[in-house]
Amino acid sequence: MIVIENMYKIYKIGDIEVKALNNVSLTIEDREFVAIVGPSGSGKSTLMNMIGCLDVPTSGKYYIDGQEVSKMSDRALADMRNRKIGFIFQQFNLLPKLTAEENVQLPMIYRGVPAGERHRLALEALDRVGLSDRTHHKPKELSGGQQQRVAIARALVGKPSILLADEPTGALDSKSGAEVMNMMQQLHKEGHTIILITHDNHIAEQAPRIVRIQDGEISYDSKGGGNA
Amino acid sequence: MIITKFLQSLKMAISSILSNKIRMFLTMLGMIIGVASVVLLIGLSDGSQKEINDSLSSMGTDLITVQIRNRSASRVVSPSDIMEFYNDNRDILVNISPYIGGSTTAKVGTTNESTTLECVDASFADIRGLDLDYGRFITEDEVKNRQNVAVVGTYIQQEFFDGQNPIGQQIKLNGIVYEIVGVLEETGDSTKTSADNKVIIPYTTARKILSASTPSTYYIQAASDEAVDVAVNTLKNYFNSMLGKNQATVTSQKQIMEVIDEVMGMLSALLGGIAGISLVVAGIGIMNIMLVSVTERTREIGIRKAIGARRGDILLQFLIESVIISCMGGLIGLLLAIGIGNAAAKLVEALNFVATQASITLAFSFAVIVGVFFGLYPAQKASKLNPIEALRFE
Repeated sequence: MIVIENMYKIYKIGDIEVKALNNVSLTIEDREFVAIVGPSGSGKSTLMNMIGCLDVPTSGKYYIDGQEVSKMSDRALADMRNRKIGFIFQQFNLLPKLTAEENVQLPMIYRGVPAGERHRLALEALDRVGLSDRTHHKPKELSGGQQQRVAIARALVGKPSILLADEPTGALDSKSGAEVMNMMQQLHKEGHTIILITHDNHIAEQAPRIVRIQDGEISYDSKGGGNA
Repeated sequence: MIITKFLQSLKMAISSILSNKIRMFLTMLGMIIGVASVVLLIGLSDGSQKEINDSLSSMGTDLITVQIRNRSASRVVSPSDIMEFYNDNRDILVNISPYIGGSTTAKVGTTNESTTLECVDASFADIRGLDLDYGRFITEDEVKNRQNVAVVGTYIQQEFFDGQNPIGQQIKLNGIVYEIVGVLEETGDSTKTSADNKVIIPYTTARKILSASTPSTYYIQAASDEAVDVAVNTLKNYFNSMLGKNQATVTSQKQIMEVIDEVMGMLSALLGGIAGISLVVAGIGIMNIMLVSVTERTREIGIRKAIGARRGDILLQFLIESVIISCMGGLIGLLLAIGIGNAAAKLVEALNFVATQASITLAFSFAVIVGVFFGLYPAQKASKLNPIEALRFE
């Protein structure tokens, strides 16, 4: 479960203060599928960085599964990303020199999982995204849709609390994009918590809950309860 | 878990090096040349030091030489004075022999040959560790009785006697007839200019041949290596009291070896130090390439960090990479140096090459230190990258 309370993120550009996040409060329960929508510059990327433990807020509190993230050290943040967050990026962000399986193994390497176990879990994750026959392929030997599915397998493999998808269909053609969205739906049904960041309303509408963000504030939450 | 991570970092570093073979080889080349030149230069200098030491210690490390400088002064030390002193100090001195060096013309039949003349006592053979091919050395009685007997070098044997045994034959030195009683073992290559062109006679007969026949040089053998320093001091005091200060020079073989050791050690350190500079240059090359590599791989670092790599993981990955480059370079350089050194020593007779464990350890550990030192800054830079910015990097 994610709890964000009165979060501010303020950047100073010269003398001007920019409030990228302005008093944002948001609660996302386990097994929810939430789309966070907003135009570019709305603060949704900042919010994603906060949720993904890539950055710490200027003020306010952030809890994942009851652990307060907002005051964590760099090292603890890395461990949170490793255990609690599964990232899915627009540009896939696979390491080009590694095979599909090695890419999927990566999060478990940083967790210190032994090689045999890593191999087994990676194959399992690749099987779930339907790529068990592509384990030894390098990213450039795979189509965009397949690359994104490898990235999803990489996000899933560590059994994180949250799947954090940043424009996952943005770099894909519509067919592959639809496939990826189907997979998201499927993962949601299987009980994963999914947070989808997008500027595309059509994509966002596929999520049961939609949170709109504008000028650093939550302007709409289909679930109510946010600062509508 | 730490070992798992370390092995992974090692694997990643190796695959990253392999994916950029030419660049990494060129980076390594600096280290190869650096380590090779350190080991080679130190090895060659150590080799000549060993050569010099070996030839010096074959003369005996317990040898002491006394040279009396001022022979024309009013105060003189006669051989009998010195023998008296020697007899008083038998606890630290075991052998003594006066030495008068000169040159003379040797003649057998109608053949003439100029040769080195050494006029000594019977104990000279023991002091200098001389071995004989034929016959015997001159005896104490022969010295005492001023008998005309001679021990000759192999050059004389070759020239006058066609390499035959010359014992009992006569040889004329400046016209005086001497009987050959022994032939020395070959020490050089039996040529005219070598140490084998010589004749040794009793010092008591020197004045029959040479004009300056009072010994100004004495060879003395100390009782043991440990007694050398005491013996040197005792001798110095004796000659100072007999002749006045600094009229005689007392040197031990041990002192000479120590001086040579010191000089060669300095030479070795100097050469090693100069070559060591190239190791530092190699380190800068590694740092340069690693910095380029960090920039090129900014996005990769961002991805790794997003996935949960800690700073330490990234640091280790890049550090291992630079250490591997240095170590491999160091290893190749080491093998290269040993190969070149031994080949050079074989081809050029004057060169001697010894790759001591010390120089190998020194060069290799310096390579590792350089790798760590110059790899640390780029690795730290990589580890401190902000993951958000790194992920945005194109």
